[in-house]
Amino acid sequence: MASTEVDRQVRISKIAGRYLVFDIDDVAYIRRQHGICAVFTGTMPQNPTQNVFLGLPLELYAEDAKMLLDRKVAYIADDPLEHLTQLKSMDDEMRKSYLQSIKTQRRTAQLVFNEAKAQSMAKHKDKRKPKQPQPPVVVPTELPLPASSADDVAAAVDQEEGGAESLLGSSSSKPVKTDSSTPPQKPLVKEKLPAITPTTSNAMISNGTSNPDVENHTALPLYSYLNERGYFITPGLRFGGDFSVYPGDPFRYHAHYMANSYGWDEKIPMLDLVTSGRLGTAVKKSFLMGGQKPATENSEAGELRAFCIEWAGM
Amino acid sequence: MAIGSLLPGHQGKLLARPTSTRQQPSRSVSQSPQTQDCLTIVANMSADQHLQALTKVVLNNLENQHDWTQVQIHIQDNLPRPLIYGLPPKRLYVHPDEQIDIIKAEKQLNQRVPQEPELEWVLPLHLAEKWSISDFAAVFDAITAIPPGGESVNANEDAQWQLWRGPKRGKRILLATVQDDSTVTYYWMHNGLVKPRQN
Amino acid sequence: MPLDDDLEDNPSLVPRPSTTTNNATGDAAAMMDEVEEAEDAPTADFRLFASTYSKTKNISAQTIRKGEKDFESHGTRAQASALDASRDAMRDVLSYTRVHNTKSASGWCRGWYFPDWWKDWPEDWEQQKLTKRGKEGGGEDDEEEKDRKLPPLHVRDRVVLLEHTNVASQSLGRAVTGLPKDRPARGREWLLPEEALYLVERGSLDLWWPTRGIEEVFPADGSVAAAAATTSAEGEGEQTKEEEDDDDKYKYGLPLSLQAAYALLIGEDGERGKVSLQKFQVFSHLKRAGYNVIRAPTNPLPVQDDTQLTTTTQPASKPKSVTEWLISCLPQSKSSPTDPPPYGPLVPPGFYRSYNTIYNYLSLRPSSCPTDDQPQKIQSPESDDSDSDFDSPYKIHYHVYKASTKFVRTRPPPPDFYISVISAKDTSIPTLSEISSLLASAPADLPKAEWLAGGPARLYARLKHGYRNVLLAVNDHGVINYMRFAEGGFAKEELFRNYDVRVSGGPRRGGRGGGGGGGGGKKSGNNNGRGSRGRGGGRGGGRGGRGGRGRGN
Repeated sequence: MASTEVDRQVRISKIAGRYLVFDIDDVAYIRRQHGICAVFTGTMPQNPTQNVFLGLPLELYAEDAKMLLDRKVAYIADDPLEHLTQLKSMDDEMRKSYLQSIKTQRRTAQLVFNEAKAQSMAKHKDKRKPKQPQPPVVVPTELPLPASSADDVAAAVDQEEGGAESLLGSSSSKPVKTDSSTPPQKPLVKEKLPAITPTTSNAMISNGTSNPDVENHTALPLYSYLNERGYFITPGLRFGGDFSVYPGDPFRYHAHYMANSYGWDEKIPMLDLVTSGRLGTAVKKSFLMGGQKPATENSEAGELRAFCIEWAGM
Repeated sequence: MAIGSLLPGHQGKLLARPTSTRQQPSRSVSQSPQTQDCLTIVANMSADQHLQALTKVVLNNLENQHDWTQVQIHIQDNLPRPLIYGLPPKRLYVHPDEQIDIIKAEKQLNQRVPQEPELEWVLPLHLAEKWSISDFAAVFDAITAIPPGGESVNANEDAQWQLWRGPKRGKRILLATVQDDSTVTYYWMHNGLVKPRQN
Repeated sequence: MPLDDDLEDNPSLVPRPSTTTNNATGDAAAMMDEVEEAEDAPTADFRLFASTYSKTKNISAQTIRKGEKDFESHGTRAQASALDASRDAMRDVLSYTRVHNTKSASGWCRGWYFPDWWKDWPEDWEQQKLTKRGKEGGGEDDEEEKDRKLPPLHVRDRVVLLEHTNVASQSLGRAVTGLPKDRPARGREWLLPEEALYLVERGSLDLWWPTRGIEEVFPADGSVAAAAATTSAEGEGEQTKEEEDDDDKYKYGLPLSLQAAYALLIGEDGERGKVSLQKFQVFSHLKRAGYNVIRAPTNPLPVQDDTQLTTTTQPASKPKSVTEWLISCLPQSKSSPTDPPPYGPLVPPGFYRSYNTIYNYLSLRPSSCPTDDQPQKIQSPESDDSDSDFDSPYKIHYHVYKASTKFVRTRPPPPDFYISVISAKDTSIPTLSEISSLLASAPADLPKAEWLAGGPARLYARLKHGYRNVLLAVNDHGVINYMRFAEGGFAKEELFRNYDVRVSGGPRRGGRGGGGGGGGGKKSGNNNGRGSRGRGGGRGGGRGGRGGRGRGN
């Protein structure tokens, strides 16, 4: 896996014993380079009333976190501690730079909206062109009023505190004809910028100073065995196993196995094997059981043995 | 028939059985009572009895319900318990990739490729038993991919699709799980990662 | 992204961009036609940000998962490029930054994080209030009733103070009433951590960390210092004043990121002012689906025990026909379920004219049997049932209301569902006592009246529905499954009562018996595992046989 990306250190936020990733670039990196896709668990703000597509943060297994840590491409950060420390005792320098970055993002957001609005207004204008004379339209700086409604525009104009100028450079507060061919100009004066909620705290907290451990990664041997062979692993609740194992990115492929990790000498009831095997076959998967031989005095941790069970259909 | 907790580690030392017979083998105790507690002997005897009964049930089932032939019991020192092997009437397992190869070969040769059945290993188990990964690993390590007597089939290995049946193929065992009402259900257990069939 | 293989590319699942006005967080384009991606825009660098700030890129299932899923990699380029397209689309969509429209009054909702404000609030405050009222006597009855109906406030856990509200936050947040007039932020609404985090994640709440005390930000006179600072800073101004404006605007606090919100609001179970990640994920999942969710009271007493142990000795009903009455007049044998014979058969050999008698002999074990009474009120937590499974994770955590149920925050109706949140990895199937106490803390939810009166025809409907139920939300690292555990009333269904009727020539019910048996084969899909009690029984075969004999008689 020759990485063409710069030496990246993924930040894994450890919050109350769970491992989360908030940075979309980190998420894309571990997916592409390390075969970790995990589960998106956050509401997608563009469409918050559905459960099919979710957004950041990504929740990782403890095994994911440990694996990345061992490969030295990630660090674990105790987010609650770091955030509280930073917020309670922020020095002026940091505060300034944080606020600066927020402000920059706010400005960019404003510009994007203005451009977007200008474009769609142009579209509207084109549609309305043939019939009537153009009603006076001004681009209100107050979002999200549709500009095509003259009444609203008038109201908006009345509300504006004097001096707020329209995007297209007019200096009066009266309704002004838009000129759809005028490219949007940079606002000359300060407008009421929208507020933003950044997704990550990267502007506030740099590389973690805390380094908590990863706990409870009991299935790590089976997990890394599968990961090294190019399989992607996601939670197995849907099919009643520890993991669902995909031969490639879950975007494109169906799962091959439902996997359970066991101890080398752990006694497994036959009924469990039969249940899982039967269930797996019913959903076109194999049931995979794996366990690692414990280390002996001479050797390192022993080999990992895996077996696949499917119903014979006899 | 109440089979209690069978000991998978049971080595079958108390038996001296000829390896290829399908009748009930005669038992002989080869350890003197002085070296073992009487209770242990009795316990081992009954465990042995249960194991024999289990094996017998599976044998019966294979032959009479599923029409297997050439069914034999296989005992080996490093096997935790005796295995069974035999010949099913039809081919039982085709690996998904092999399926693709066969189709390609059939296209090339423009005729159907005969699918001869192969000898398969069978491991008798009771549903109430508990086995560990190490137990299964021991079984797989003790056997060869093809049961004895099966090597002669498909000796030449030039064709790609014939590799699937040669001695280098992945190991697999048919788990025969017996329940108290004497029904037996069969599951394939493959060594390693083997993708599921998609029928 | 969906992990489910079963979810085919179903166009009906394409999430529609929401056009409701509560998403007025700065996307003008949502109100107009969809914005076309300016493929050849001169402002190329904005393309990078366009998706970051604009909401209405076409998000469709097709973009993210072009085509069907394959079984395995063919190594083809088509597959690889489709994969790349999916990944890029995912990345585009998820790099969006949440924007809040600060101008519109209905748009911008700001919250302030004050975790310690209610720290010293007495935990049993509501109980104290009730007992105090009770002591003051008669005229307070109405108020007492009103208070009892209020959902519990969990005051000590409320850590985010709302400055404004918007549509999204209107079903959440509660204010603590009855406070002294000089208390800062009096009468304002406060959010629980899961509510606050849900709103932040959704883009409806701008969460700020205060750098001054609450008395400064929300002085007792009811004004909001921070708001004043903000508006004045953002009014007309020259560019040179930017620096000072910033200081003013941010004088009282700093905006927090989503990551910070998680770090501050997510904690372990039982931590004051925080919510566990599993509970939060279930909360969000339900809210996204449109339900209203509030926290359940922390220590409800098990509902009045309206079940009774019953054996089938009691003659359940009067004899239905003359023949039956005559039979019941015959002398019965002396043995009874509480006094079985010490040896010999349970059913003494002899001539029987009634199945009732036979089954009476056979019923040795008492079984719990829910009654038909109307649902009992959940008693308020007056006493501490400390010897119950205190550490058990099986408790009711949330009360859930369907979207169609009219929901008023301060006077919610009885919940539609009771949810207990369980972590898949750390918890095992509940023990009998755990599931019993869990079910006991849910009120009765009887089968429909027509089912109760429907006789044998509605047998399986009654059994499957059960008499009270709880939903278990099993959470495995973000994947959530819901399972319904219901208390089945098998003991109430005394099938043999009908046998007598048939035998004695009552209305022909043989056919009905066969039909009832046929319905029993259907399994309820959500109950798996051996812990559930609501599964239909395996008596179908027996019933069919019985019915046949009845017919022949």
